[in-house]
Amino acid sequence: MKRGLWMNIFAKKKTPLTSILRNTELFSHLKNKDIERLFQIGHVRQYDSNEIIFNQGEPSFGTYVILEGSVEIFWKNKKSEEHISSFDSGEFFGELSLVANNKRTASARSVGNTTLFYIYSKDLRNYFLRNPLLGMSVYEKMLSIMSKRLEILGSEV
Amino acid sequence: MKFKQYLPYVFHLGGLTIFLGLLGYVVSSFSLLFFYILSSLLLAGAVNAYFDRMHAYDVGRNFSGALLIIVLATFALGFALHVVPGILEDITALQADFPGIQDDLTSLLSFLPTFMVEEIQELSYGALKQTFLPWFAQITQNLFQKVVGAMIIIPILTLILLKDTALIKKTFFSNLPNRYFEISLATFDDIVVSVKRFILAKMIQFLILFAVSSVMFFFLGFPMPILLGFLIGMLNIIPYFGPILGVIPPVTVALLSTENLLLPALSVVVVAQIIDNFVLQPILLPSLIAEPPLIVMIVTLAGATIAGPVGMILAVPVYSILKSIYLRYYQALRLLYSDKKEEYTPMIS
Repeated sequence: MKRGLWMNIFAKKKTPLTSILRNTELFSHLKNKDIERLFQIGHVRQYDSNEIIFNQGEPSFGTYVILEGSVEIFWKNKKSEEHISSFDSGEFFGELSLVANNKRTASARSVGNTTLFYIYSKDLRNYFLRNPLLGMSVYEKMLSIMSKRLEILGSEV
Repeated sequence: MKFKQYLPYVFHLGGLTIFLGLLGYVVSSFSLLFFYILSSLLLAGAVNAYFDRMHAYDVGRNFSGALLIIVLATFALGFALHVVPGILEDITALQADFPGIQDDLTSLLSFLPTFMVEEIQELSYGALKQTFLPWFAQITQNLFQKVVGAMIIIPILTLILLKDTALIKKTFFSNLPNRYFEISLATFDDIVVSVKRFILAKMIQFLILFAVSSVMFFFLGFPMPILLGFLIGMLNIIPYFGPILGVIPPVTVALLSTENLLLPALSVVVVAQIIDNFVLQPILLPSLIAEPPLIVMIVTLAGATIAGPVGMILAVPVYSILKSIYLRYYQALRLLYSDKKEEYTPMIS
């Protein structure tokens, strides 16, 4: 019963996954204590190879950061699938839910065994409301990454 | 739509119903324990929000904690020294007044023939002494015992939750399958928001009516002003039926009093109702869970049948929570299984 609830309540929480989160593009500029706090409000999820993470058209409530493995983003219709992009460890996707409560614009599935860090938009927003400077810096970073992605997408089109 | 297309709905919503039914059975079997847990969760949430706010102003956790303990201890001491003795005195006075009730009734009914007065006295005094007054005193004492119990248990539970709220929440959600994880998290959030809003609105309603009624009863020379104010505040929490029940305690006290207090008693009830219906309800209603009046009445009666007075209070929020769970899951199922992809609309903004 090493991982029982009682042990969990009083256990000192230290996990190597926080160091992976610290090395992600989005959160690389944050201090250790902010990363620890961020890790507390998020959820670590394990996905098997080829498992659907979300489907296009589903309601979106949060964003994902890849801790281990990779993720493929694709569009699908009744007949075929169209690959849009792939993301690797340290990258994030599903970020539109942070700015608008909407539905997923594309589907996502894991490529190989994948560990994701899920952040529920409302939890993140509430945390940033209490720490506005931190929130602004993360949103700025996110905007810069998104604009780079748009540039790449634009050049491909 | 073919039957096959209905299957996912039947499967998911049926499974959800069985799960909620079992959960409801467990909660009702351990209602007091769940009340303590729910109160502690809310308190821990509020304290966590306070720590985060202080952290945003660069105030350390230790200083914030010390400040909070000083403020809470001051309030607790004030409550224990000033409010609790008043209410206990009122209950003792009510029990001590039993023998005087017969004389009060005699003077009240002096215009009737003697044999009728004696008959009424025998019937009413017997009924009052044997049923209503002991029941009333018992209920008030039980309530206070539970309040004192809560004052010990809730802070301990809150301390544990404060340390590990996020971990407990994460442990619960980590056990859910990936497919249902995100929608369950969003539904849980909806429920927390609804419950927080409901409890906050009801607390404000109770405190204002308790304060106004107690002050009015005090200045009008009523015995037990704090207890009567407390009862009016508590009973008003019950939708529709509460205001009617709220008339009974002050009118009973007025009828049993040697002074002519019937009109002042009714005036306090009327003032409390005016404040409740024309000031509190229009302001609080938008933040309360708004349901059509007919639904509220039916649901409240159903709650009374299932769980008595507690059921009457909890009926509307429980109904709203169940409604939001089913609508949320139904909407998600439509997005997943319907050919027509529709726009997602959040349940609670």
